[in-house]
Amino acid sequence: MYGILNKAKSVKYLKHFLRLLCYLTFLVGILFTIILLFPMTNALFMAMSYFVSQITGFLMFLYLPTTLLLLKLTHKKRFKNWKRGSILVIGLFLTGLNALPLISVPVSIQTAETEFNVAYGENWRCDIPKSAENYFLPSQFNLYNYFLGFPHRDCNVETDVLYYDADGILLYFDVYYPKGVYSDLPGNGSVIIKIHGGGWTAGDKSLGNVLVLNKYLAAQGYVVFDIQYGLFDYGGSSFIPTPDYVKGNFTLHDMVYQIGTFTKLLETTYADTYNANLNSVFIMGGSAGGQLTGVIGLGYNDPYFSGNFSNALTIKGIIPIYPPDFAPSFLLPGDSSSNPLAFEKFTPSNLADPSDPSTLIFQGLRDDLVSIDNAERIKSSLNIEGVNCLVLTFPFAAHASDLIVGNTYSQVWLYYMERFLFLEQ
Amino acid sequence: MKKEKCSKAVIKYLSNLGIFLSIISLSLAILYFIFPVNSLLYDILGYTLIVTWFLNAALVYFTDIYLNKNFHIGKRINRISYYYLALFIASILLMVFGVIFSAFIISGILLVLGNIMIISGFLITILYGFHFCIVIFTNLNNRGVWNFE
Repeated sequence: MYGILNKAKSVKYLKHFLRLLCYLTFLVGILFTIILLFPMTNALFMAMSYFVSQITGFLMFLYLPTTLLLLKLTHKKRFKNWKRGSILVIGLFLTGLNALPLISVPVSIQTAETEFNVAYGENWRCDIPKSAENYFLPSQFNLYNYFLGFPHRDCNVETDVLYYDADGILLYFDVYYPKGVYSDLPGNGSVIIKIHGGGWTAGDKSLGNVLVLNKYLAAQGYVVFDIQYGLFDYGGSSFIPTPDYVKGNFTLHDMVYQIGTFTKLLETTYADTYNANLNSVFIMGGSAGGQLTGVIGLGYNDPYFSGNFSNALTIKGIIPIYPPDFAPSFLLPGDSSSNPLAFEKFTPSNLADPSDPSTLIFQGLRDDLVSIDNAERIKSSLNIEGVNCLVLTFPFAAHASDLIVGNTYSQVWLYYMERFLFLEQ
Repeated sequence: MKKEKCSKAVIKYLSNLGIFLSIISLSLAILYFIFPVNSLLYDILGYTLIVTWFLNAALVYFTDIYLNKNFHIGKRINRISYYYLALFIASILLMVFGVIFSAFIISGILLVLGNIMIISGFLITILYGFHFCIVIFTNLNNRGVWNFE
């Protein structure tokens, strides 16, 4: 008798505990949904939005069973109908709202199709041979890559190759290159220089620079150099992992100089080591790395940067990902009135000229850190000069929404990016 | 009487479909885990996977309405539905952390761990969902288990 009473008591407590957990999940769900749908100014919420928007498909399948569990735990006899009704409505709302990024995938695809049709003509797919197409994603989006993860592709990887030892810092790069014969693969040894983001003050290669994508592109025949550059040390700490040995009092001039040094070493040393094709080079970077990609890619032939980069590289395309189109004042001496030339030359849209390479931009429409105006300015300045600039926009995508390659945005992005790389090489 | 018959038919239909889709999802997923290439065949896996999850959720909802929880088999099925929901939540968490984990690890044991999290999360949702559907289906005609008799 005593044992039965004890068991009944434990079940009661367990149910109380489960109810509490379900209510907590609902509260977190409401917060995450607000973060997903509405602009945020708080730094913590903004950082949360980076991840929330990428995992909403999982979250909807978290809220649905939580709703059912809570309904089962709030028994009809003891809880009023309106309370059970509210649980059902809130649960279904959370599930439905978190399905929005998945539902909006066709919108992203439509935008990308339009951009490609404008840039390459309506029959642009005919320019990609079947032999290359076999290596590419067969569809813009699939659910299995979303829920079961994007598989890592097989390639050669060398990490932490030192390329810069001066000014009190050490800079390394990781290189990803194909295992097979380059000429059999669509990339054909083309070079991709990847520049990580992190607000010019934080971040790192590898972990912070979408390494699954690096492996994927290397398996397609590209030689991907994921590089470090000197970061501005503002004295604070960041939630983004950042090595101390790259920090210093660096300006944008220094960063572009260091990356320029890498291009020269690429010409003299690394091209031979890794069989890299210098006649087909792409520059890619996200956020602050996107700004540097814009400055380097569009300013490569600009007299202001004369002598900074290797002349042996032919830049075929640049891929700025949510790029800021401005020069942050803390990274340049003086201000825009006392030092106008520097501020002008470190703003990507000011560097557009007819000889610039084609540009593919990723832009989330829920990006509270770098708004779409930046991408639009770059696009319009390039279009005026007659240069292709394709802006792929993604509803509900926040800043850094490309970090998990299988998510709703990255799959569509990857589908079009691999074709852009092939068409431009 | 008509409504009761209809409810029984809905539960029967959902459990039948749940069993069928679980088998399809499981077979395709095993194939995908062994040969992880991008193929249109696996698109079917994606759809069956989420349809199975939605169907099982609907089955839990209807079961809760029509189950006679005072009868010992009804109590057992009710307990299984609790376990299914708890395991489903745990599996989704396992899968999401596995996906995040494997997105940021270049190689080695941690990458294997991420993949194990994804695979085990998936297997738990599908296998326990399959078990739940079978239990419902086999007890559908048992007297006293349901309130629609």
